[in-house]
Amino acid sequence: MDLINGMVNLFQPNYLFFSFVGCMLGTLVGVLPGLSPSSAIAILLPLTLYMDPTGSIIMLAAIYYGGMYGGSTTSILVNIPGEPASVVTCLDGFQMTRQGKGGQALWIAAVGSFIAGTIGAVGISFIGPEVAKYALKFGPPEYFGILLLSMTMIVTFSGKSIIKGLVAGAVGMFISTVGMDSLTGTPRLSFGIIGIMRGIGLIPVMIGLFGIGEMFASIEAGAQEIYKGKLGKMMPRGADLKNGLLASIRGSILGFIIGLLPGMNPSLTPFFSYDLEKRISRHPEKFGTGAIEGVGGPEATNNATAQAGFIPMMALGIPTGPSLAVIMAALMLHGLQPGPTLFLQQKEFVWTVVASMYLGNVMLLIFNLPLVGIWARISLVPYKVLCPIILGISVVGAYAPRNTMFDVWVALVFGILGFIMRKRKWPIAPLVLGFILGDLFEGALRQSLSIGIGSPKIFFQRPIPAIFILLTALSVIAMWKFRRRIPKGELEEN
Amino acid sequence: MGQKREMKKETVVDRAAFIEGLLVLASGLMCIVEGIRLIADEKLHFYDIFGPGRYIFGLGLVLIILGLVYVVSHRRKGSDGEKLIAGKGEGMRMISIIAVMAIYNFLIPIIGYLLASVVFFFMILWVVGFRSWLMNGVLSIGIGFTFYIFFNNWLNMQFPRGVVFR
Repeated sequence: MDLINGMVNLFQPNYLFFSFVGCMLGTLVGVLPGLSPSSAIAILLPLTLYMDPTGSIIMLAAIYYGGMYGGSTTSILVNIPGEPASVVTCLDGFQMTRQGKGGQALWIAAVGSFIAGTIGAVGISFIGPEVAKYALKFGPPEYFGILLLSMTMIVTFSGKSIIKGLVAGAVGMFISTVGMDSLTGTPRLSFGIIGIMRGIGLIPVMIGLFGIGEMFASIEAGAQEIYKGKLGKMMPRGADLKNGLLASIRGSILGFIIGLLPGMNPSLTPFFSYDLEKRISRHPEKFGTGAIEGVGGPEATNNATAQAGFIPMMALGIPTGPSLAVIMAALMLHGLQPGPTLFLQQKEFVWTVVASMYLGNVMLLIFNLPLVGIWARISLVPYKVLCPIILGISVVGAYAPRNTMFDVWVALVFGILGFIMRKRKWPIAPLVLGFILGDLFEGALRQSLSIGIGSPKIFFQRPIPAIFILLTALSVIAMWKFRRRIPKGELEEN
Repeated sequence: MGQKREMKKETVVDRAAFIEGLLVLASGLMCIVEGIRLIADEKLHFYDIFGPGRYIFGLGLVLIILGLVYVVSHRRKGSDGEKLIAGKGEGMRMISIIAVMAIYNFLIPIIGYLLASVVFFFMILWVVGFRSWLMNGVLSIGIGFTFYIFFNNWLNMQFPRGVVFR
């Protein structure tokens, strides 16, 4: 019933327009190597402050899952992943292109993404409200447990060096303490400077690290390769069609289930899918040489994971990845507090956004298949054309939330930091996660200890925080073992 | 010669790792000093037992431990990062782009967003490789005005008008 109301509400010209714009931008961002969905969302976020909250979240969400569709295009055609979630697609997708089957690879990637997106939207519709209802019973100790589990994401995003990830996460938490303490109003680390007393803004940090920093790195990296091959027939036939679709369905279910867990984001889960498809295949030797399952499965998985991530983000206030962290920041900036109350008190907003995901997946399928040639050409636009525009928008975006030039300087400083981190192989996502979760983590910890009159036993006297603390320990052990299985060359941050 | 270059690159890279470790240690020390200052202030413990000082003190300890581990592990294993700037050309380009952005930030409150944007786009287009004065001039005026009209008029964002035009 709520979903039907959401669908009805969605069919207003402005919401349809924002959904369309988000899908197009997401695909464009996915196609352009060097510009990630999290960058685009961070840069556009401040502009959405002047829009209706529902419309802005519809657009930002569409950019996020639209990026999953677009990222496969360059992975398949030029062996360059458009965004991190499409890294695995390069393995077999580009091989299919070399065999003249690029069109079929693009077809199965698009259709697989559509299947996954639809399954994901259905999953959100049924599972999201149940998670929200359960989460209403949570107090500060329970939130502390969840946030502690979420902190394990820092290990997931650490790439090759866990120590670098932990340092980046701790530095993020350190930056989050600058400014007024949220409980007592005491200035911390402000050195008497008024601009710093207001705290380091989330948006300038995001824009700096993801937007400006990425532009600096992309300009410094130089030119792209040019694709000169042919696409061939679009739709696969016979066994290829059957195997590709089955792999997509498996990948969708796998991606959705894993995507509910903190730390599991679309750049990681396609590895699981590829591994699964290779294990169950009758011809595992074909993987790496152009197996269609190696394209359909991972592409479906990254989309399903992207959709599933909205459940913990909206129902619990826990983002499972950098892009969702930025979308969560958007929710907060629009005065919508992520958590169980969002599902219960803002039903019209939530169900309109969920309904937009159904429609968004249809739009993306329609735009991606017939226009694939155009998207492939767009991926060759040199950065010297895009760079001035993106940097100009970044400055506006940094200034807009608080109307202060201090934030623009913060964005530039973090842009330089983001560039240095990329060159020195420091993972950026842990810093962002530490920054966003740091304040929440501190608040939950201090409130819990106040309830427990200073004793940490409160975390073990209640079942839910105790379970989450145990899950945290198990999660760290599981991630450690998982990291040892992945070849070191693939263990980059994204 | 190739071996010498490799060794020089490694030394530069390891030195960078050492500096990074020092910066982390400095952050940790800052947190500890601030934490001690806040813990000493009795008034702050009225609202919550833990207070704003203990958390930041603990965070400082974590940063110091992680900083030490980082420095020690990179001295043993060597650094895996790259040099910041691959070559002289790239170095000049990066410095130029950062300088252009800094000049833009500096100019906005002085001459206002519109004029500062025109100057910014002219400079950035030059730096990224468009070397025609006329083309750059036309593009920078066009893009600058487009940005101004879109953000200031359509989205109603209030940008600084500048000391000159106040």
